Amino acid sequence: MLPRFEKWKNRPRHSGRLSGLIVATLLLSLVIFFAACGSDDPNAVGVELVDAEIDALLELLDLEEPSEYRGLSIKDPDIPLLGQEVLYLGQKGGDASSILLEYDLGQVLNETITLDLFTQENIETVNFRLLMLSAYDQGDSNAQGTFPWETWYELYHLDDPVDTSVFPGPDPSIDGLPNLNTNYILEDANLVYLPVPKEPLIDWITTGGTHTFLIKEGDEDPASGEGLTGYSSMDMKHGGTTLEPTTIGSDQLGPSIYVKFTEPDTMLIITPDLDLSTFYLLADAPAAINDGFIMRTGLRSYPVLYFDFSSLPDGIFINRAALSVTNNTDSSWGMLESIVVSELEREFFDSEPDGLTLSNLENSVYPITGMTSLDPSYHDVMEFNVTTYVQRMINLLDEQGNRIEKGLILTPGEDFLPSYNTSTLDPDFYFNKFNFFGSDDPDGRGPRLKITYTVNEAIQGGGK
Amino acid sequence: MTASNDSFSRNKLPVISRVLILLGLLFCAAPLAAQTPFALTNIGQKIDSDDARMVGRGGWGMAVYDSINPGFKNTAGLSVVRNLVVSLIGYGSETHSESLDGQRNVTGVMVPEIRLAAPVVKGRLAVTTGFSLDRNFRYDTVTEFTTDVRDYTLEGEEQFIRQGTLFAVPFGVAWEAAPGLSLGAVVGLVRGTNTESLYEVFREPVNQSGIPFFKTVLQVQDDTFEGTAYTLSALYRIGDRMRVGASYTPSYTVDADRSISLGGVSAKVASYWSMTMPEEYLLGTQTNLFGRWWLGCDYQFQAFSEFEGPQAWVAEGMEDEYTVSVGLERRIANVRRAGLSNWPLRLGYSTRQWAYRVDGEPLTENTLSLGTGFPFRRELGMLDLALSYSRVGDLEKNGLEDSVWKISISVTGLERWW
Repeated sequence: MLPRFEKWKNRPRHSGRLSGLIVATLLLSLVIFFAACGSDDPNAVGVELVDAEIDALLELLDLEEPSEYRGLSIKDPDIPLLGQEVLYLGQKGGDASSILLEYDLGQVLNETITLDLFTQENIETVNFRLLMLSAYDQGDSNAQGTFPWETWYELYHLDDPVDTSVFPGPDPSIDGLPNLNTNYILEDANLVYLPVPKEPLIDWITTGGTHTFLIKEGDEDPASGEGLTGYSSMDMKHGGTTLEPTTIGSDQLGPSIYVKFTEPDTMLIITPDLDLSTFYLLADAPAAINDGFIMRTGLRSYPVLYFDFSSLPDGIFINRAALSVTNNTDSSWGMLESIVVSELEREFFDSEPDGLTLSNLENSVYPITGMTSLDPSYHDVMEFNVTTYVQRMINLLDEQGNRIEKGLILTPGEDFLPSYNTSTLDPDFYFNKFNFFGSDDPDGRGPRLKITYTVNEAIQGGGK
Repeated sequence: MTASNDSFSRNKLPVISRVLILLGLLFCAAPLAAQTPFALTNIGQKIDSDDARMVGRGGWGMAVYDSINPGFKNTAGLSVVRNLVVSLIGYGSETHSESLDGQRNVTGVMVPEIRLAAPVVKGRLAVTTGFSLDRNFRYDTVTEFTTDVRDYTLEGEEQFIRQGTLFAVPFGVAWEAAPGLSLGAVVGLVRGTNTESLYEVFREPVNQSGIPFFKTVLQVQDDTFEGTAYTLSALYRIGDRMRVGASYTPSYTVDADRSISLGGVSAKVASYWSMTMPEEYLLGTQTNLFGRWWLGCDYQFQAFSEFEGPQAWVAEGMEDEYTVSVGLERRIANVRRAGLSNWPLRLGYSTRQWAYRVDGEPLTENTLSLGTGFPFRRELGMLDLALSYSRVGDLEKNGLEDSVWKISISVTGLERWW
């Protein structure tokens, strides 16, 4: 210890001088002091030296009528009309459909089910059974009518097979054919049994081969109520989520013929080889925007709107652009649905009908915004924030410096629009229809683009 | 021998580390620099790059001829250096601004100058370089607004931020041309930026997700400056008791590249403009009154009334910029057991007219200061401190008024200290 103490005692002295350590400490303290001292947040002090005014900043422009419009019928080749999960029957707002069924009755007979069972005495009942989707059987406000609506179910046996490629299209002729359904029974709220006389069935079984049937809404007095109701097809895949719980577990979700024998005491269920909705009336989308426009699911029809931005100066900043559309809640109907507004490539807009497929649409849209859970019969005014779209229309220039314009398409939540695809049910499932007011609406409820923008006078004339 | 080397390393390394850390901290802190709202417009606030020794005595330093604590204000005076010299200047300040719209306190730190001088022929010829701030543009404002647009009442705030500097990287030489007469020449690479950002933030209304209906507007104007300035200087010693220094910087052009952009808009505008910085004169003297007491004064003049530049600046009204500095200094002594009487003491006063008018009236800045310093061991440099108080502008005349307290520190280290 002693040598160490001596060393310390005899250390070099720098009395009156500052070491580097002290210098560093002093400077560091200064830095920390001022860095730690809080400054007041910026305020209005000095603002009179700033040349900026909010009042002159925001400019307004309303584009009150689309410059171009088209209602596009989009097809999904993977799910043609024949492959749809839901069969529609009835009529609503200019759309109407019957159900076409085809059974191969030559395949019914076998070692167990023999022809001698099909006698007047041995057959207790013959019924065509339809399974109504739960969305339509509870009088839900989204259903097409007020439950129980009066519907007459007519059943016709057609003489000849039908070319299904003509549908959607007119129903096959039933002139001179008898209505085989003498009554209808709505049982357990969602099971519809259409009783059929025994004799024709015996003839059909005896004849064998393919037999075609048409279930049609009748117009007896009193007439059937307005409503387009959905029933499970043989292609139903979402049964458990769309049907009554009592039907879950049933492996016969499509329209089937139920034959009850006395001896043996058994039920024969004959399933169809083909079923489809005929949509013998399918209202076209309005040809001109003046008359309105529609967004329809089930058989997809999506509107495309173009606006003329030539009145917008170059190089502006879009503070807000809102596409305002008004849904006619009196004439629109269907389930809760999303509406997505997307940019659409011009090429798709100009496509021939064959090119208007879902996969082509997927490659042609860029989603902008949307809303979910819209009730066709409740939500009227809808404002979609399309600010980014309008900004892009200002920014996008071709090689000649001209603006590249894209359209706006309104679609439901397709699979390729995951942010708004809130259901496992694709838009081909339910037949929903939004009817929007057109430009000629006297109350000014037509589509319009309300733009608020900022001009920087220094930035004009496009990109430089 | 080996032990000695190890010992040297152990002693030296920590000092360098501390200094490097210090430099790093100062640089990091520099962007926080407090500024005055007067810097919101025109050519900005002139930044004094005087070391704390000069600040303490009012700012005079044109006639400094000191090998231990050299001044960089007059390059000619650097001919005396005999060691590699590194000078670091920093200050922290608190600015209280007052206007008809309210008050604001801002604190910050700044490193306006880092300089290096190296002797080529000891005591006769030296070269110098470094970094030196000339103008600073930093200040920001925020004002609230409410306005009706369409069916909405918009609430938000307008933020304006001006930030940037005009600085020089000098390359100079100092030469003792004749006994008592030193000459200096500097080529200064003038560089800088000035960014003016205007945000219009619309806080209300918002949608259900809390996102404002109206997008924030961001307008940015960027200027990048480039120019070259030349300065000639001289220092003449009249005996041991009086010195006179002067410098002259001819008028020079600063070119500016300007880009204007609007956030979200692809179109940008690029343009070019230039400004002609007027010629600048500095003149200073110091004389020994008695004993260790020296009296000095400096005069700086730059004819901004002849400034050529952006029309908006000129239209505001340019003024000739001048600064008068006067002060006393009691120099350091090394008398054993003299205690505080060895300390250097400094006090001074300066007045400056800014280069532009504010609210149509000339803008003046008056500063009182005092200071002291501490030598490093073996006379290998100095640490100088100064405390100053300034008033800038006049509330009635200019609509704005600043009170600025500033602590300046400068470190001048000679090579063996490092």
